[in-house]
Amino acid sequence: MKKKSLSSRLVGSPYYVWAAIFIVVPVIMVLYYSLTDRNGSFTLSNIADLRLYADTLVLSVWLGAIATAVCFVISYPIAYILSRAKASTQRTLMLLVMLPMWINLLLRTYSWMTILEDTGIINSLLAKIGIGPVHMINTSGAVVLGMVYNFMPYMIMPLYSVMTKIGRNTIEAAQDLGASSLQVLCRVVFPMSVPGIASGITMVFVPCVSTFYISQKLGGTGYTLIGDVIDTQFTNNARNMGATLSLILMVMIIICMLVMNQFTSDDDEGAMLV
Amino acid sequence: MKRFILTVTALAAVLGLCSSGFSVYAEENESAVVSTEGYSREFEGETINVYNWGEYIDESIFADFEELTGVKVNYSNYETNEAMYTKLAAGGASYDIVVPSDYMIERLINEDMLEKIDFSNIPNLKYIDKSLDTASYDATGEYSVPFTWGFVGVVYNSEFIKGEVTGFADLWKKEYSGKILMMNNSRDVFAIALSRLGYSYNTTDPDHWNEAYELLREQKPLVQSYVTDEIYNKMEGGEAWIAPCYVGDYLWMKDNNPELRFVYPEEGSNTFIDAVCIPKSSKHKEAAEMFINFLCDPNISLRNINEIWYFTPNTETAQMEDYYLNCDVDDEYLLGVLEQQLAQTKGQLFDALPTDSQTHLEELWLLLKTSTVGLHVYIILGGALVFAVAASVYRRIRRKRREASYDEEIL
Repeated sequence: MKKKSLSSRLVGSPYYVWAAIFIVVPVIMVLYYSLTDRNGSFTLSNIADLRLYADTLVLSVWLGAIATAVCFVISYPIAYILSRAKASTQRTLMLLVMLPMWINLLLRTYSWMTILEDTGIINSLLAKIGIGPVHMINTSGAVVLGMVYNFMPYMIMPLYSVMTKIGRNTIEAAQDLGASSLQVLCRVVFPMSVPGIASGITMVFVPCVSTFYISQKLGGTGYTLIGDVIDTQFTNNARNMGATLSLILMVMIIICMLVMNQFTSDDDEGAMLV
Repeated sequence: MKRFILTVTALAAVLGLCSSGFSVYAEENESAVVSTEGYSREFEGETINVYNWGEYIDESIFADFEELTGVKVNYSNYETNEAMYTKLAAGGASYDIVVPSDYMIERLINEDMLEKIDFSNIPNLKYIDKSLDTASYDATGEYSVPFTWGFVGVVYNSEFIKGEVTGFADLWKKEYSGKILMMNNSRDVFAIALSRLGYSYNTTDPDHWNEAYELLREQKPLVQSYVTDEIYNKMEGGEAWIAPCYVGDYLWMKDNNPELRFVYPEEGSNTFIDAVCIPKSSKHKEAAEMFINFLCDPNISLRNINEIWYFTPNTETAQMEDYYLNCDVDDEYLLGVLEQQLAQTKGQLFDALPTDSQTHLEELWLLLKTSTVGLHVYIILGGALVFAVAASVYRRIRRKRREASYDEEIL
C-alpha cells in the first residue's frame, strides 16, 4: 500500500481527534471505573459481582434475540417488495419506513404504553365490542413489540440496499434455467442477500440488547434489562458497577459484530455501509 | 415579499403588545411579594440554576423574581434524592438551589457539599415554622430553609378496590397483582418494608435491611411498575389501583379522579421535610439567597403551595384564606390525619444512614431491580451459541477445502 500523503493525513486529522476525545477517552474512563471502587482504589470485586447480574444479562440477550428474529421475518419480505417496486414507489415506501424514526424513541415507546395498557386504546376498543380486557402491557411480548417497532428500520435498510443490487436479469436467468419461485428465493436471492442479513441482524440485535426505557415502560417490573440496570446504577451513585456492566455489554457487542462480520467479509458489497 | 414581512412584523408587534398588556393585568391580579426588603438589583443579568423535584414549584414565579431582581432562573428537575445526589457528587454541573429531603440534606452536610446560608440576607425567615424538627437533619440550622413537608400514605382507587385498605400490608395483596405501584427510590421503598416489619427506618442492623429486601422481592411479581411522576397518569386513569404516595401527590390526583382515597398506614409512616439548600458548587450564592428569601415570602409561598399541594412550613401562608387547605380540601379524613400529625408525634423522619448501611441499602436496591430467568433460557441460548460457532467453523473449513481444490485445479 502507498504511503499516505501529508494532505490526506491532514484531512483525516479531525476524525482522529474526534475519535480520541469521544471514543478512546470514554472507553478508558469506563475501564478505569470498572476496576476501581467508589474511593478510587483498585478492586476486582466488580467483576466478581457480575454473577449477580447474569440472569439480567441473559434475559437481555434472550429478548434481544427474539426481537431480532421477529424483525428479520417481517423485514425480509418488505425489503424484497421494496427493492422490486418502481423507483418512485420505492422512494415513497422508504419514506414510510423512515417516518417513525423522526419521532423521539421515548415518545414512541410512551405511546405504546397508552395503546397497550389495560385501560389503553386497544382494550377500550375491545371493551366496546364486548371482548377483553386482554392483558398486554408488562409482558415479555410487549417488550419485544417495543423493540421490533423501534428498531425495524435498521433491519429493512441494509436488506433493501443489498436487494436492490440483485439485478432483475439475475432472477430472470434463474427462471430461464427452470428454477421455481422457491428455488429462486433459496438459491439466488437469499445467498446474495447474506451480507445484508448479517448487517441487519447486528444493527438490530446490538441496540436491542443494550436498550433501556423500552423495557421499563412496557415490561413493568419483571423484564428489567441490562440497560435499565446500568441506568439505575448511574443514577444511584454506583457508577463503578455500572461501568463494569457497560464494559461487559461492550465486549458482548464486539463479539457479536465479529461473528457477523464473517458473513459480510467474503462478499463486501458495502452492506455494512448503511 | 417585503410587504409580507412588514405585515408579519406588525402583527407580531401587535401580538406582543397584547401579551405584555395581558401580563401586566395578570400581575395586578396576582399578588406580588409582601415585602421588598432584602432584594437588590446588584446581580441583574445573572442566571441562577434551580434544581428541584418535578411538579414542585409554580413556574410563573420566576418571571416575578426576574422583575424584582433582574436575575433569571434556569430551572431543571430530578426524580429522586439519589439522582440529585449523584449529579451533585459527579461535579460538572453547577447548581445554585437544590431542594433535597431531610436525610439527604444531612448526608450532603456530612459530606461537606452544602454552603452555609447567610440568614441576614433572608429576612423572610421569620415566617418559617420553628416547630418543625429541622434539627434532626440540619443540627446547627445553618444549611437549609424548609420548603414543604408532608407524609407518605397509601392511595387507592375505590372504584376497583371495594375492601378496606388499612396500610402498607395491602400493597402485598395477591388480588391486586399487576395493579400495584411502588415508588422508584431506595429509601422510600425500603421504608415501606421496614414499616411492615416494625423496624426503624434508620436501622443499622444489616439483617433488618436484608429482611426488608426479602419482603420486597416477594412483592415484586405483584408490582406493575416502580414509578415517580408516572403515578399521576396511572392512578388517575385506573391503570393502577393502589400505591404508596406522598400526600401532596394524592391531593393533586384526587382533583382529577374523585374515586381516589387516602389512608394513613396503620404501620406508621414516614414524615418528610424538603428544604432549600445552596450546594458548594454555587457560583451565585447571594443571588441564590435572594431567591430563598423570595420563596419564603408568604405570597410567593402561597402560589407555590397552591400549585403543588403539599403542606407549607410558612406560618403566614398557612393562615391565608386562599391556602388550598383552608378553602379547597373537603377530605375530612385527611384533615383529621393532618391535625393529628401536627398535634402529636409526627411520623418517623429519615436520618442519613451511616456509610455501611447506606452502601448496603444501595446494593440491595440495585439487586431488587435485577431480573430472573428460568434455566430453559440458558439452555436455549447456549444451544444457539454452540450451533453458531459450529456453523461458522464448518463454513471456514469448507471454504478452505474449496480454495485448496481450486489451487489443485490451477496447478
